[in-house]
Amino acid sequence: MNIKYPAGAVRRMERFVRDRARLDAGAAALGAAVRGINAVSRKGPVLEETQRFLLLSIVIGILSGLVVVCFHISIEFLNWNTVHSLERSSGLWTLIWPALGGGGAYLLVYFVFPTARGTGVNYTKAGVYASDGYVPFRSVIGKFVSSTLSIGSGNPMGPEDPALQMGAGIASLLGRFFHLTRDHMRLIAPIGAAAGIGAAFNTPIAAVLFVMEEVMSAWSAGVLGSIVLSSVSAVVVSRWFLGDDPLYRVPQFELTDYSELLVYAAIGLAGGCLSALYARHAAALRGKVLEQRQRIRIWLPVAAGLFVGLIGIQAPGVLGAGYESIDGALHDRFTWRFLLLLGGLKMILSAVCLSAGTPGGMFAPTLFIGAMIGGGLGGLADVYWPLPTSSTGAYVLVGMGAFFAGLFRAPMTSVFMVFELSANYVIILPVMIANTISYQISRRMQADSLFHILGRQDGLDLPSVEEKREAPVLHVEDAMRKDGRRVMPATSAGVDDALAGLDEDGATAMLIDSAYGRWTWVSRRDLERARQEGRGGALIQDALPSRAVIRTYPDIPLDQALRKLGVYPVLPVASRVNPNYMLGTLTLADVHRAYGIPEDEG
Amino acid sequence: MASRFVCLICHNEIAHPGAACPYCKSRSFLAEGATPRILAAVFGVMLLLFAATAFYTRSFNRESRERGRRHYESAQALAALGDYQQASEQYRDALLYSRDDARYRLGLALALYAHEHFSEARNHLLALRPADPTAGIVNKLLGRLAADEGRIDEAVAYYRTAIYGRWTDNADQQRIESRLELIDLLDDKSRRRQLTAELLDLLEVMPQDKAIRRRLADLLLKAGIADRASALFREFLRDNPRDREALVGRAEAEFLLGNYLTARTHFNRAQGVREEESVARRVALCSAVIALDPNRRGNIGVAERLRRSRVLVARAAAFVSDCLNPPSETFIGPPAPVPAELAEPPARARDLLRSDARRRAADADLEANILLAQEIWNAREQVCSANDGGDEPLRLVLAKLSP
Repeated sequence: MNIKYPAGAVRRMERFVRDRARLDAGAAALGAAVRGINAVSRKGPVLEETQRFLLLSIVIGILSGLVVVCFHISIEFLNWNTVHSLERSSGLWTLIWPALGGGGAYLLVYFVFPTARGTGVNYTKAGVYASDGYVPFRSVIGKFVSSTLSIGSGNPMGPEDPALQMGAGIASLLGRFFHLTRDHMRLIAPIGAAAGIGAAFNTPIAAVLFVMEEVMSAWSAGVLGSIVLSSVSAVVVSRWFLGDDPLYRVPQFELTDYSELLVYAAIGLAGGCLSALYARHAAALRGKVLEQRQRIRIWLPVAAGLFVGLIGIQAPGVLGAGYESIDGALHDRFTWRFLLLLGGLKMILSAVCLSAGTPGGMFAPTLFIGAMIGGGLGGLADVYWPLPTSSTGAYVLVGMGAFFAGLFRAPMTSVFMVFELSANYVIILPVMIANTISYQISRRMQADSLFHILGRQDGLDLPSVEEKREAPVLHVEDAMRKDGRRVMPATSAGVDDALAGLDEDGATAMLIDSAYGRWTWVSRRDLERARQEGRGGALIQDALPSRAVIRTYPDIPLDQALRKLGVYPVLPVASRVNPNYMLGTLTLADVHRAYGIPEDEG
Repeated sequence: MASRFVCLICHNEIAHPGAACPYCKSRSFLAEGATPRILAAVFGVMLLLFAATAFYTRSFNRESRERGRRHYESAQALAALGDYQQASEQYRDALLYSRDDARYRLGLALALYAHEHFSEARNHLLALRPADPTAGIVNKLLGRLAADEGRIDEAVAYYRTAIYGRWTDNADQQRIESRLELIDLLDDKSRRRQLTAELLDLLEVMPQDKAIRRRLADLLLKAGIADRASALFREFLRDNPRDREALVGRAEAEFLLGNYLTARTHFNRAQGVREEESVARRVALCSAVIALDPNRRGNIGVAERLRRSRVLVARAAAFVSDCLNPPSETFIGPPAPVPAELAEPPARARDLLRSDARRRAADADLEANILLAQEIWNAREQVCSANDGGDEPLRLVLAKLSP
């Protein structure tokens, strides 16, 4: 019997069936997902250790980013309510605030947070090289509070260096929580440092490079991924809360004439000379301060703050980190004379505060001084240079990079930092010229970087990327023997012949050339045993079992080859373009000779 | 109860946290019994810190915005009073609190521009441009600055972007103002082709504002687009037939079009409203042209037309003759030798004069006279210097008669 349903009812039923099918499909997918998760949970973690380390880097980046955002806001809040609100009202308070802030911050560090003293870069580096990645968490709190007080009240220091140490401290704490191995612990502090400085500067690439150049003092591919991840995640957090704007709004500009490169070279020259002089004199002044008794030193930040306040009454632009003044310089607000004056004042004030022990970092003052010198020289060129010149902003940026490269001896970081700040590819060429000149001149005038000198004053002898880079590295080609006396052809090499060859050479093993590119080795002991067993006249390949040997190449560092010599007493050195062709041989004795170790000691 | 530490790679028990696993040899840094609890604690702290930072940032942003707004309002008030120096300081303070607020930076740029700190103003405008490349006011000001520095092509590009760009309020009016500024610049730099194009574009949108329409009519007249100018002046005269400036404008437009009768009528009407010497001279010029024109419409007979054509020939010949034989009091030395390439046309002019042009003109018909007059007139360029002045009515009539 056919029942005729109303059309509306049929439509409703069809819709019900369709919905039911969708629900069933959804439930099935959810069930599969839950089953999958359960299966994975039962099996254990699905991520490799390296991947988990990368995930931990992201966590470090996020946490460091959050702390640095709070740090930045705290400084701003304090600054608004102290120096900035008083700039136009009372000169007396402008005089007093830096002294109060500097003195209070110093007392806090001295009595409550002694681990927060010194520069963040050096103490993070000390964590890496001296204490297996241990950076006390107390230093994070100490840096946060003391630097906020100091910078927020108008002392001419910067928040980037404390942010770096805060990042390292957070990373170190997490590493201890998760009981990282010693190798990982040593890597974790630089990862946090990159996050801290990346968030403070809003320049992720420069942060990565700085940590590689200055903190780790080495280019390590193994940790690069983690450092990049932590830096990027910290910058993302910072931008999330503080906005996408870069630290400085850089106006558009272009290279107007190639003759202008001479002006940039002059900025590099000035940056190099001034940074070397600054490092030398600031360190000397600090050395003098460190010689004083503690009860005198405790008052020095107050005196330095009063001096800062005194200058700040006439030139408020030098107070605090000085980002507004740099912004003003970028936008051509000041005359070249005033720019040079500001740069000079900041050099004096920051050196005084650094020596007195006022908490805070040296990044922002360095950029400030460089910006003012660059802008001042650019403005001067605009007046007297007979050919077309760029806008002042370009010189300000190049000056920042040049002084930074000269003072911190981090040329790569300085180039990329300026590039990231300006987001302008045109700036690369002038920056590279100025920074290279500055770096070279600064090195010639002053052997060590500012951080290195400060570290030594604090009793730390830390490695620098410069000394690592310039330490002579010996390669296999410097030690190998090319005369072929340790190689014999398999078809004609008898046991007695081989022993005679070894006696002549004084070696302990010999290579046997079995075929083109197929080498084996045989030791003096095996050969002697074969002779004792009456097989002296036999061919080696018949008398002894063949033992394969791995080849090395002329460009391999000797310390790397040395590890292979622990297993093989003699190594064939093959050509890179034809690995079957032997260029020479390498033994432990050759390595000793290359390093200048006498035979008997070897 | 003591924690039981397990390797997270193989799940076997290990001696203590961080120890190498005896089974898989792993040194997994998460290899310890309390790892899930630590992970939970870390994420908990992260969430708490995130919430605290969000709260702190919100307070900071609120305070920052409020301070920025206060300074901005103060700056606006100072700018309205014309104290641009103080206004720029206030704008700077506003920017200090809200660096990313484009209004503050624009206000600062405008105040600096008004205070004639052009370089800094330009830098702030350039800083604004990447975020909003089509912002009308930014491009207009950049156009002005580029024009002041003589970078005309760049200025034109900025003005064009401003004309077709984004304006927040009163967009049509602002676009027209920008175009008028561009037109003034092009007129000032004598870029005729670009000027004509801009004027015709402006005509397309035909602004309603009377002052602008009047200015447009003047500009059209200045650019030689007389028919469109005349139409606009006619429109003004419909509204007010005694509008003296429109009467003069219309007269000049008709004059340019060669309608000397209409031009004279309007010049006369303008004189009726208020007399002026310059207009009187224009009336006289129109009358002279009308009196000389052999092809004038109206009731002049063949004889009169022929007479006028003879007058044309005679005046052209007299003019060239004066050039060839300047009065003795102005003669200051022997005539310069005629260059070879110019030898033929002056010789032709001399021939024309020697052959008694007047007699020939009397015998010839109207068209031949006109052609002869034009030929003689054209020859003047080779024999007369630029300082020789000219017979203005003759020039106008011959220009009108030329094919």
